[in-house]
Amino acid sequence: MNTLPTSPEAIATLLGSFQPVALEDDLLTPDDVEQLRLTPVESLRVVMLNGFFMPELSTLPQDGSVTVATTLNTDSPDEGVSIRIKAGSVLAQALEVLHVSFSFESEFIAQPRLRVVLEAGAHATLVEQYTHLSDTLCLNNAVVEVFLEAGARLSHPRLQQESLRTRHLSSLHVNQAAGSHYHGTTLAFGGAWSRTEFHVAFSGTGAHCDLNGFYLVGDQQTHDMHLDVIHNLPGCSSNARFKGILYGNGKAVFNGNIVVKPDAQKTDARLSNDNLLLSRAAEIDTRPRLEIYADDVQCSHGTTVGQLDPEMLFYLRARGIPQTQATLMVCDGFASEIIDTCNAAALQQQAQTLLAKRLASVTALAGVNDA
Amino acid sequence: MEAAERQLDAMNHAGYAAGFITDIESDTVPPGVDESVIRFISAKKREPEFMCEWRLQAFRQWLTMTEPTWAHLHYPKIDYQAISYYSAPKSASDGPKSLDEVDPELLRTYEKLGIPLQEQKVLAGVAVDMVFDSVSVATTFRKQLAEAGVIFCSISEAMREYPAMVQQYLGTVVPPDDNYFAALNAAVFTDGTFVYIPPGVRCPMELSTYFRINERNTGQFERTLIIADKGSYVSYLEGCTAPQRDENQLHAAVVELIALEDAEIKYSTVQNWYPGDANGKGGIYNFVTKRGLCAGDRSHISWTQVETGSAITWKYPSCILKGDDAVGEFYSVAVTRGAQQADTGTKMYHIGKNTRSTIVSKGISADRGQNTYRGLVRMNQSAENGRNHTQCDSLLIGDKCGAHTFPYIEVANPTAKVEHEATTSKIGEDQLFYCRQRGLSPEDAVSMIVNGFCKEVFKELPMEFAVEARKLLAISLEGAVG
Repeated sequence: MNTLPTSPEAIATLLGSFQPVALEDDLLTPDDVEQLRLTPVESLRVVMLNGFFMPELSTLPQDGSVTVATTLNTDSPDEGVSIRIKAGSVLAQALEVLHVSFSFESEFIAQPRLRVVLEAGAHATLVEQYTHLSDTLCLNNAVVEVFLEAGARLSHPRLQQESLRTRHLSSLHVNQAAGSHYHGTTLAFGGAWSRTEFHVAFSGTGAHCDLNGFYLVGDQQTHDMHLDVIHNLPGCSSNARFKGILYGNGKAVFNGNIVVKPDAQKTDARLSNDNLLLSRAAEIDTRPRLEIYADDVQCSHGTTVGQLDPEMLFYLRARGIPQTQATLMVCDGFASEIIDTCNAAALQQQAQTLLAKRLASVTALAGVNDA
Repeated sequence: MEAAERQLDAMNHAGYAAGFITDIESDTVPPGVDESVIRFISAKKREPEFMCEWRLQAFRQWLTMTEPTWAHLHYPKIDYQAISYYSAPKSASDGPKSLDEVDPELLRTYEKLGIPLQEQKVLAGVAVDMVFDSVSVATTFRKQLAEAGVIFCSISEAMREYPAMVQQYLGTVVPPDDNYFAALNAAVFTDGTFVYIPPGVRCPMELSTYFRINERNTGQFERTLIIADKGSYVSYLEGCTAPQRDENQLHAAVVELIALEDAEIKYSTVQNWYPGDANGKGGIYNFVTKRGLCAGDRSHISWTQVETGSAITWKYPSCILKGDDAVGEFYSVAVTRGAQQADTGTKMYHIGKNTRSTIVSKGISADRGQNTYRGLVRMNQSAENGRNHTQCDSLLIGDKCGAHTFPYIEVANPTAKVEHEATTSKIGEDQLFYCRQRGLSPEDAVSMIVNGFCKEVFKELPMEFAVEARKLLAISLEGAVG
């Protein structure tokens, strides 16, 4: 199962074997939430279990600055959460959305749907986390929509740390009105195969979008990163930076597309993708694409694929740092550039711990091979 | 042998009735393609039996294939049964009688390029006496090449004279079923060039189809096969800077290069086919498959192209770096204006150890031109220490044009290093201002800036070609800024 299905038929077949589960509200306890949370205890929190909103486990605001509704005006799925942040409010605390998948069914599907609307001039931080707790096979099919009205600012760190029993699909749709600012960081660690999609469109001029992403792909993992930034109006800017570390027989795909439509003059769009291959069996396919139909624009993209720089390792080893440690340091430095863009200390901490833990096992192996 | 060749040339140019055994009526086939047309072409070319079989197999393959649609190109569906797949070489009486009958626009371009009158006539297809300068030039060249042991002839001739070599190499780099257009070409190709450089020989001159008289009017389905044996070197020039008229709208050429151990092939193209009118009507569709195989260790293949013509360009000169320490290079300047569309780039397959490749692509779009770079860099698991650097830059002139970059990078070896960089921008107002302040006209300023933009590619062209290419670029972009 280490390949992503691509044809609609294959996807339909796959979905067929995964069954939706009913809402069971005693599976997850407040203690679990306490264990999993990546924001301070008093933060606003929305907990989703297998795609169902869990009001008892969530902490909702009282002052009216944020409203949470559970009926979405969309056809599917039945359940979903809509969060609306009132015009002009500046949230001091981060808002956390915790997606947990957990069931005793052998193969189940969770379809969380989340809509976040920041009204004009609102400022907020939205922390998202995806975790799979049970030992059963799970397909997580998440859709997140973000609407930023004029002048709104959203910081959006996301951590995907699902288990190897999970197939993870998530698509993030960002729609930005004039002068809005989106700053997102997606850290993808888990899933047997996983696909993260980004769709960014602008509905007003002068908006800015920052997309940062990091993927760590190891043995038995396939990760797919898809990016579509459509500059359909003049004067917007976007900066997408994605980095990946691959080891074991991990395979990753980066498919980034920036489109500058006719008349989207004065667009400034950047796209970069850097990859580090730590093993022979790992493979990366990357496609950073630019489609430009306007002339007064600044667009660039860059990609690199390489291994650890032997000179950097030599520098560290010459200072008495063991090979394993040195490798870890270089990888950490490489990943930090993205991880550090999260405006959430606990999430950042968690990501760094995960990275160190996963790489420690790899570099130990590499050390054996070297000797 | 030389005498035989000369006789053959004479036969080729002497008009049809006298040259061939068949009667006049059978010299043209009705539009459309089927197995009988292919048998006819093969018989007409007096090819060995294996070639006819090879063509038929390719044709059967082609019938099962579908036309690719992934390219960033839009054109009306091609009716392959409406095309005539064999037309006898033009006899003198078909062309315009004198330069007065030629499109004055074309003549103005020739003048700007500084093409001598006699050559203008040839390019415009005016009937001229066959004994003009180039014939004698060609003969002298042939003598010199024969002394070096270099074989440089038409591919039809090669199939008759050196069938073993053709059978050994033809279709090994671009198999007949490689893609839709390559399959069609394999089935119906009418002529092309064959080059063989013996071991250790440095070809004494730049080879060019320009000097091979019988090369004219074979443009539609051309097939080129170049083999550089161990330690040899050859530089090959294709096309010419002057705009060429051609009645055949669909072009589907195949070029195969094979470099054995320590051999080097440098292949330079200047393509300036008719781009059609302002709406792209009547322009050439150019669907070309070009691929080089660096078969031996330390072999080297370098593609340089300047693409300014054609309504549609679909072209990806590629290198398969199979030998250890092999080097592949791709330098390209592609210009689209009017309603021209180009989807061009390269593929670099790294298989051998320490293989290196460089890609420099410069795209210029003006008016409503759409210019796409599409390139693949693949590092196989065996490509130890493989290295690639790619640089693609696009220049946009005008707000209706488009520049697109679609790189595909696949790496399966951790010691390989791949870098890709791309930028897109327009000519800076400040650059223009600077030039104009110093008394340059806007056109000269643009031309100067564009030439600077393309310098990296032009420096790879053989000297004479580079000078012409620069002029060509200036003319191509004339009036684009104003």
